[in-house]
Amino acid sequence: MTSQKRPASVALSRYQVHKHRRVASYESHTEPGPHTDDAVDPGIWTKWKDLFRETVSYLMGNQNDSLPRFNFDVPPPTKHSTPKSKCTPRSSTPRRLPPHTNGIAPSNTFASSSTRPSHLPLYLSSSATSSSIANTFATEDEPEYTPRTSRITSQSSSRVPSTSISTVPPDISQDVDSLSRRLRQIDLTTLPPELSRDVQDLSSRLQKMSTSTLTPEVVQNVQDLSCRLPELNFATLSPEHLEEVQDLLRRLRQVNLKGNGVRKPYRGKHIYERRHKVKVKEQRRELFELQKRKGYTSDFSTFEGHLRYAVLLERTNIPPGKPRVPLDQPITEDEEVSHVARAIKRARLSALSPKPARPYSPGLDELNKLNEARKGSLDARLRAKQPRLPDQLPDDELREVEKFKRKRGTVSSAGKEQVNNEHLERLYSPGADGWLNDEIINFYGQLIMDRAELPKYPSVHYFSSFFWPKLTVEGYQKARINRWTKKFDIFKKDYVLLAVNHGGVHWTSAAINFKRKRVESYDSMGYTRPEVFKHLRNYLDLEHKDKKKKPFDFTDWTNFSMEDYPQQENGYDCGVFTCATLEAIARGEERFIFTQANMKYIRNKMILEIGRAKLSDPR
Amino acid sequence: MADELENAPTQENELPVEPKAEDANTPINIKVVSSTGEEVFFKIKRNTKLSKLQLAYAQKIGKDVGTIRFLYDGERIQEDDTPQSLDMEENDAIDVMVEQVGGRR
Repeated sequence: MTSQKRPASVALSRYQVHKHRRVASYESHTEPGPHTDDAVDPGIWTKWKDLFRETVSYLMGNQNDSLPRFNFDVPPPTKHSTPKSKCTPRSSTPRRLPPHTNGIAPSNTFASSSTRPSHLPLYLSSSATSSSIANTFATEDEPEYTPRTSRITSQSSSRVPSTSISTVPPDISQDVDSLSRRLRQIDLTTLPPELSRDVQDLSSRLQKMSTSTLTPEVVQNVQDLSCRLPELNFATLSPEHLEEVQDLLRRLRQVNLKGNGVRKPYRGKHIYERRHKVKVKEQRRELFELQKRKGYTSDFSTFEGHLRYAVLLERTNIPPGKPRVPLDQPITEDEEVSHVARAIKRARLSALSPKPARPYSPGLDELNKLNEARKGSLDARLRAKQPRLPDQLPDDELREVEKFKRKRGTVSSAGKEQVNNEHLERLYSPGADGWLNDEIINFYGQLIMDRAELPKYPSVHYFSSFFWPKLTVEGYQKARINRWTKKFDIFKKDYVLLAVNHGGVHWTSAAINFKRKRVESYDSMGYTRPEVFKHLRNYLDLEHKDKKKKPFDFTDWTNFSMEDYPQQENGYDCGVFTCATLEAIARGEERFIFTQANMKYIRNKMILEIGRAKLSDPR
Repeated sequence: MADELENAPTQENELPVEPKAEDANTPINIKVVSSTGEEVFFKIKRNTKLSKLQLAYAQKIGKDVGTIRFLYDGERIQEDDTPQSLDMEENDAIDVMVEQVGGRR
């Protein structure tokens, strides 16, 4: 091989001289038509051919002597298979290769060329294949995003692994240097213009490869070399040469640029892969933050595990009919990305949806207002059924009242009761002087009994207010209460009415309601009077025994006190409430429509009724 | 005071005592029972107005007659009632009650 290299060095001086011919040769290259003459000098062609052979051989790491000799007359049928078989041991044992088996000088002799910065822009061919390289190198400014060896993928198939730059042996770099050097020594004048241009180009590229460490550019250049070879003007080549070059190309493509023998499965990277990965990571983080807002408490790494699990689980939820992914297969990025995207969408929907309204909790004022409104509506409904008492008597009756007030001495008498002006004053005196006494109460009770004589009213007996102290203090027997009813049968009455004086300060009304079988007590101060029930029941029993000679039958009898009985609001109207209640019961009423507001009217009405000794017709 | 009243009736029989007869002038023994159960006995003629008895009783206990009420079998005794008009019998009781008032508890 050394002998083949020597003649090339002779033409070194002429390289510079014919440099200017590149432009012309390029133009002629675009129009291959005129170059049909077979002007290729066989000797030059041999050199050119050998150079390629050397390039291929050292790039493939083969021993020189194992390379097939070119036989232009008989193309070796096994040529393309040989480098393949040689390729594998070379790649598995890269370090065993002697650095200078082909006799090329050490790299220190090319110190000048090796100092060239490896990142300088390279010459780029205008051909279609080279434009893809141009794309490759155009994105070299952001190395992270640059997909590697995309052309190898397309040309050499996945059999040829991508280059792992750090593992390429440095001696290859030196060989590249020597190759480029020898290329420069080719006498370009002896070459057809196309070839001379290619050789120039090749040599310049190889020069740029010549760094002490192989950079990605070096690898790219070698690849470029392989792709530029087809740009040779094949029309100018003889068929044998053509086949030779094609074979070389084929072998060059199979070059194992990776030196450590470990074939990593190729994974093509998209130019935006890194950006995409960052975005995916951001999305995960975003999802994590969203879930944290919803109450997720663990840290991010735990969350990532949770996310992977969720993606895996999603495989079990594939609807029937769609392809199922086995659970033992690793999670693909697509799965995860789509899952995260969907999860974020869901989480955003729930996070950004309007918050549910806070439970309604009204303040005290609002509650009071509500209660007032409810009470008001209830009252309105209740009162709507009831006739309302007038606020005042008609004028003519008021004049009559005034007349009774002016009367002195006994104002009125009814039955055995009498009322004089002193007692009547109690009905129109203000304040504590307005307390009613037994005279007024019992007179009014007499009036009630008188009215009850009329057939349209229930039969009623009113016991004098002294019935109560007699019954409770002395008792039925000692007080001879049996004689109180010697003229009538109490058990034939509809109602037995009583005014009960409590401790000399308070009047309440009580009734024995034979119609409804109730013992009733009405207290305008709101007390239930259990003693009233007790004594009246006792009276009923003793009276029954006295008159009917057998105990009273209390079956179905109840004690009754009204919850919504009208209540007095001052300290002197209880007697009026009592009289009004007894009067209403004597009419068979079960509701009392008078209130505190009606007391003035009722007092005047009572004066009128007492003065007339006759109850007015109920309004 | 109660003791005085109890002894009073025997000394106070100023009304003429007459033999038992259906005559209007026939005296009758009547007791006045207070709300506390104290009894005062009176002997009066059947045609004597009970208002005389009421005044005598009010004097005895030292109260205005307007502040006490006399009941016979639950009914007020009026000015011109007599034992005869009320069909009173020997040893019948008249209940005397004090005035009741009320305005509030």
